[in-house]
Amino acid sequence: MKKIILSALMAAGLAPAAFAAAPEDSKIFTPFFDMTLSEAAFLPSEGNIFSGGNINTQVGLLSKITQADHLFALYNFSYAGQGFAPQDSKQFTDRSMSHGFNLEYRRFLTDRFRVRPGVAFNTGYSRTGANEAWKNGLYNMNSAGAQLAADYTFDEEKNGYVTAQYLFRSIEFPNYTDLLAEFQSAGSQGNIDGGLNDQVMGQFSLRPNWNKFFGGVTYTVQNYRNQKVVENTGVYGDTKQRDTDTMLDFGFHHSLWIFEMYPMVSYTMHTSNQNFMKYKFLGDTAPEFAADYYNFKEMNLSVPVDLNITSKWAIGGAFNIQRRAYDKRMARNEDNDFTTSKQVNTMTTLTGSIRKRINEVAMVRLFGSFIVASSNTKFERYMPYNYTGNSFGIAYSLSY
Amino acid sequence: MRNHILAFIIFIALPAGVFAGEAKILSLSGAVEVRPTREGQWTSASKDMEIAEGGGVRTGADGGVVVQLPNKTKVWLKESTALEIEQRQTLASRLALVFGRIKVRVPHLMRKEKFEVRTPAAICAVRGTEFTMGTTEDGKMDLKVLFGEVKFKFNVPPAKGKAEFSIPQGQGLETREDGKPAAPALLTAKAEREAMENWNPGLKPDERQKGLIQKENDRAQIKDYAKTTASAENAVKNFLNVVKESDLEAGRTLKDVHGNTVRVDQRMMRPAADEIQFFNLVKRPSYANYTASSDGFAYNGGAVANRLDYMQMTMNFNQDLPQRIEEWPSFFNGNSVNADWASFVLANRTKADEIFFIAQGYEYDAARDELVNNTNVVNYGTLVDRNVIITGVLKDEAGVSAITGLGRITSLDIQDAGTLDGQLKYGDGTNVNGGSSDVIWAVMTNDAVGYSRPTDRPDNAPLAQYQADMYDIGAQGTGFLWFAKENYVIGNGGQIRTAGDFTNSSSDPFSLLKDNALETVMSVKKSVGNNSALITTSDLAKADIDTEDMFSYNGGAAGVGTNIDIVFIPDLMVAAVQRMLPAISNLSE
Amino acid sequence: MKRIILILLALFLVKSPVFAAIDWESKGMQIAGEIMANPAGFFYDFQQDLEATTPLPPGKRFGIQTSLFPTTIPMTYTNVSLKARLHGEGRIAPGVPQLDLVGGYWDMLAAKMATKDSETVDSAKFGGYYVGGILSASVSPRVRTFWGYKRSVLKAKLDFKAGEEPEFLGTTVSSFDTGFKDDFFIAGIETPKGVNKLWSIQLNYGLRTQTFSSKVSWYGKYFELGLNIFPEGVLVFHPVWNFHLNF
Repeated sequence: MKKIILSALMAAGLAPAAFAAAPEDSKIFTPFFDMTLSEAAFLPSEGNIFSGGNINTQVGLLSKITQADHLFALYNFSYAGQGFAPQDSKQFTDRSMSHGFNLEYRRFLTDRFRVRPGVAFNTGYSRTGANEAWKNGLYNMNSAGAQLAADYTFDEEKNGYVTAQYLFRSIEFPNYTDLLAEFQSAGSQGNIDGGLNDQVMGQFSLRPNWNKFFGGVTYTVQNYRNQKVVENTGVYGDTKQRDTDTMLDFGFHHSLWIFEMYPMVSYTMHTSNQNFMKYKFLGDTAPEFAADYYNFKEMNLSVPVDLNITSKWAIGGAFNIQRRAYDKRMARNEDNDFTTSKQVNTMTTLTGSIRKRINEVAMVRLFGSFIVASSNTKFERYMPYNYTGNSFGIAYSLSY
Repeated sequence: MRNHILAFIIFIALPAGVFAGEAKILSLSGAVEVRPTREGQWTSASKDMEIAEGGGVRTGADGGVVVQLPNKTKVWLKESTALEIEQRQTLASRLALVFGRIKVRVPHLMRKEKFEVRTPAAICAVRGTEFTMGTTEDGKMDLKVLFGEVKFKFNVPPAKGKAEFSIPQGQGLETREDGKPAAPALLTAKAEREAMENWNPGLKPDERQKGLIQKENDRAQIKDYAKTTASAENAVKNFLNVVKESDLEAGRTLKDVHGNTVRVDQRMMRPAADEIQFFNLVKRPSYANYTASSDGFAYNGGAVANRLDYMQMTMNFNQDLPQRIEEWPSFFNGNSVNADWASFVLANRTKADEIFFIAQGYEYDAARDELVNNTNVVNYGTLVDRNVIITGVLKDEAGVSAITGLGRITSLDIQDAGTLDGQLKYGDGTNVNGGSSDVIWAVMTNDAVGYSRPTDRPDNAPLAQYQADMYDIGAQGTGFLWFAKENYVIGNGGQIRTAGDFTNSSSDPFSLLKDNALETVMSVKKSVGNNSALITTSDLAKADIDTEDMFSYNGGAAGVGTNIDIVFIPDLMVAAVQRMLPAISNLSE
Repeated sequence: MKRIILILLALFLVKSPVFAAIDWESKGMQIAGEIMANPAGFFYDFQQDLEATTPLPPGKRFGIQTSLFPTTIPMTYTNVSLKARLHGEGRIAPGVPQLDLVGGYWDMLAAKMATKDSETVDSAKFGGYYVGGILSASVSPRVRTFWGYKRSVLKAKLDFKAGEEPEFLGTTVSSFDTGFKDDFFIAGIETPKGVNKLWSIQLNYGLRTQTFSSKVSWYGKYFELGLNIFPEGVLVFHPVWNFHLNF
């Protein structure tokens, strides 16, 4: 895997050589480089200050083989460090790093209709602290897949087009097993080589776009290869786990004098046939069974606003609210017992930032944000649910 | 004549096609005039017309022309521009810009080749460069370097400032009228754009930037593509559900010292608000029968499939701990917290209804302000202040399953049964040994010498250790057992490490931790002689350790028991120590 | 209008009343724990500060660099780095990028001074070196991208005096040899901010240990100010000050 990464990086590295040192500015190749790096300090209401950063490097190349055939290649390195995250997603200290390769071929079949088949490879590492090795992370992931998309332009003046896409990914977690489930009910998973969460993901989406309005509906199906559904006896039966997810989103981009707004709203419905057996500790002989533990409905609203004061300076602000309501999962109280009300998580973020353009390609941004997370689950030993936090950080970005 | 011979030789010496004779007009538009030779007349220019050395070309108010020199240099002339080709030898070329604006693109030159452009005020030497230059007849000039480097020299050194500059790409130089010295300055975006646009003659103003705009559109497209790809990948990641039910988790698959494939999972959990539980689970799809080394201890359990072992450490505090582990450092700092009790349980849990285990408990001794392992753990009447172990085989009894029983023993919910033979009762009074189980407690003897091999270790000996201690069942002095341990430091492939692997590896200690593990094989053996006073040397101790196990397991005959074989990986310890260092250091104070 | 903006700005930056005080003592212990868990990584972060992985500015052929802060002072990493340009951009053939060879060596003075007075340690070598190559290509007159490879080695070797050797896991240890080595891939973009002033941002990614860092640098004629960010390191931000001479 590393060799592939290395040779791909070298190839990407030599790509600019193919056309650069400009004397003839190449008509065939267009490069793209984007490096964004940000580092912030986080102060939660409970717990000590910690710092986390994000690095995102993208290197891409567009080759115009003919006027109607374009080939896109993209390499993406992204690192997400510690930070505040919505409830039920990750702990503060979780970090992850991923390498991605994407290749897409675009062909204009007619003036208005375009097809885009593509392939994608991604390998991701994750770990919960700086003292674990990336190699052994339990949630390390490899994925390979392909997609086919088609765009149809129905209104050229107002940039109106609709995109239909089908995406397919085969995802593997080579290190992940769950021996705890094995110990709680012997013979259940029988799998020690990893790969308990291996799955195949298929996603279909339809996204129209018109005059700076955009929206879409996305339907995703995840079929797990090894993970089975747990029954109320604690034994993992024969049915394999299957998740589906439907998402609707809508947004627009609006400029009014020096203000620019990009509000967006999305609504997600997630269902899974997996249940959950709650063991409070190893050796718990009275576990509690929760059926349909992972079904939820989530709503997400974000309104970023930018104020372009001068061509160099801009002030921005954003308001973001995310609310997830579980269909059947009950909230837990402090003693890790289920209560009788369904779990609802809410997270609100208020961000302010100042952005300065260093030149046309580079910019620096100072940002601060205030987060309020609340939930009716009070069992917070392993994952944070209720807290408020502040974060302050700086971000550099260079994009050509 | 000489020129001809020279040209001929050069023509042969160089790859064909490089030299095509004289400067040539590639394309033109509007009013363009050419003087083909030094002494010639100005005539109207036409495509492919050649200009010899000494010739010149000039454009009128609306003209534009592109000239290509034999060394592949391209010169674009804008309107109202006059250019002279002063010198055009193989290794030296010089152009003179009389007035107007030109753009020059010089490709890589041969090693000793020189290329210069002269204006009334200065002279520029270039190699592998693209730049634009404008000048007026009285010497006011404006140079913009796009790629490469231009060595600029004033013809007449100015009154103020430097006379020579080396101007790299992205910078330009403008001579100033206000008497301030000229110095290179960074090109503005607008200036760069104007220099980069298409200077080909005959294009309308809005067509000149078409190439640049097309490039920008392409860049915007690929930027969009990058954005949508990134969001698609993020969406994929967001779907991967994580339900965290523990504080810390780690796991690894490796081979143990006997060659079996092992999967190790470690977790840290909190069963109650005042309790921490750390456990190390080990699973082997197959456990092969093996013959122990002469220094080790016999294994009687035979080959087993789906073998499960675990080690669990539980610690209970006198106060509820804060829910979130991030708050622990300040909590331990601020309060007088101490542990109430702790227990270590190692068990072979291949069968859920028949568990072979060895447990050690620690209780808080207020007088000594520390956790102590002695007979107080089993609430024995007479205090014997030495290590106590509780061991045996737990089976399902009426009303108390083996797992429940082990859970009670883990919480130290036990006491001596008072039968003077090391038997135990649960906290609620029921006997642990209800009829099928065989569990006893024993205290370490104070007179028998323990067994330990190897006695001295030369440098680079394998890191393996064998040891056994004699324990007195029930503190009666009549029955004894041996608690035997084999400890190995192994690598991921099951090989036993040496100290040299750690101290002389020249790779960082952190990587070393990833590749190593600790394996310990424990068993409880009978004593041959049952007399602790006779064991005075390590060799006598080894002779007294029976090959038969104290407890039989899985329907075996008396003496056919099993062992507990734990592989312990350091992955989690590092993370746990780092997270809880403030707490741990406070506890030890 | 301005007032509204200022008020909004103030609102965004005001601290939350529920915000807990920073516990510096346990933060310090946490940092100590991180250093103990991966000491080689901690010392290597300072080696990254002195590694000169930006290409030579256009037109320069040779460069010498030494890093002042935080390497020479206070970590006593005395160091020197060299950069040599093999060929400029477009010189060999159009489109061929500029190739620079870089390399450097450092040695920790404090280790040597400490062993002079020590009774148990005979000699201590704490130092390292790096070698690499950087290709840079212009994508526009004022934007240059650069790519490269470097190999970094950090060596820590302690020799104990005969008779004073410590014990480790039951065996006597006569010498202790550890360190850090990895192959790194470098990628970055550079843009000038003024004559003789370059601003660049680069990413260094270690292929074997997956150590990575990001460097932002303000490169002037003689001095370079940098901000090295090690998201997974112990001290996340390293402000850096280097001195260089380019010819």
